[in-house]
Amino acid sequence: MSPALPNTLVIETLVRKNPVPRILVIDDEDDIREVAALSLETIAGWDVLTADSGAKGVAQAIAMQPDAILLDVMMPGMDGPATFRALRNHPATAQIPVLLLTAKVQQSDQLRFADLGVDAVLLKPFDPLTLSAQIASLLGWSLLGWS
Amino acid sequence: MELERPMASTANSGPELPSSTALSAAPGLSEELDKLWARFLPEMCNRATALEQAAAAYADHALTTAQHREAHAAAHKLAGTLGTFGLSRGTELALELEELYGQDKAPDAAQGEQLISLAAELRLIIESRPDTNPLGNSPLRA
Repeated sequence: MSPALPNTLVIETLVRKNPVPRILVIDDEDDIREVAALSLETIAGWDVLTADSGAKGVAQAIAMQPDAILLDVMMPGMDGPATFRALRNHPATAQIPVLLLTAKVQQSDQLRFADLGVDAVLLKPFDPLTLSAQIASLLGWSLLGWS
Repeated sequence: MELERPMASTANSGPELPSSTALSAAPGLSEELDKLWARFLPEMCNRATALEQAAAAYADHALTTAQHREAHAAAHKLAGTLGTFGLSRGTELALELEELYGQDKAPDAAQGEQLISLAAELRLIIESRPDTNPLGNSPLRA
């Protein structure tokens, strides 16, 4: 039996698919998408992809293999939970961490999101200065050596 | 091999304003945010208008289902957006409006006044955010 690796090493090995973290932001609101992209690109130097609907987001995720997905909950058509299920059901995206992005989380929502199996929930409004740090922290990412 | 997925953890920067200490690390961000604000201002104002019109209609017992739905959606969107641009009070007001429009109760005069007052304050906050003044209240400034 091989010795257990420290958690940080395991995480880095598993998540470093891209030269810099690549994040897909799926949100139907243009302003939120653009602020998130601006923040992650400017502050953290991450590679950001965006999609304005759940269906487009799933297609982008399959094609571009982001390291994590920021997914809005309330969207017309395919909403956040439905998009999340589609991502989990596709072998190319099943392992990609997903953070739900929502303006309000009541207790009933927390239970619903926990049942879904999302990796984390990030509340709007987010702080553009610390968004990347929050994502990294929530996903347990060690970014040493990624940049 | 699969990472163990913990139950959804929640992080909330909330409506707190970002610290200005990091500004030096991101000198271009506040200017870019101001540009985005200027670009999306008409949309923010349209949402404020929807809330004002719904409040007036509510007070007149003339709120339609479509107006009600539009006001609820406008409040939800503003709640999620305004704090990101440094308008934490705007997010608080929008959350209050979202809550009120989410209730299923018969109209009453007091609530009509409250909706009108909240919408008016929200409009003021949106229209008073500087988008070009370097000493304005951008979230990235002290």
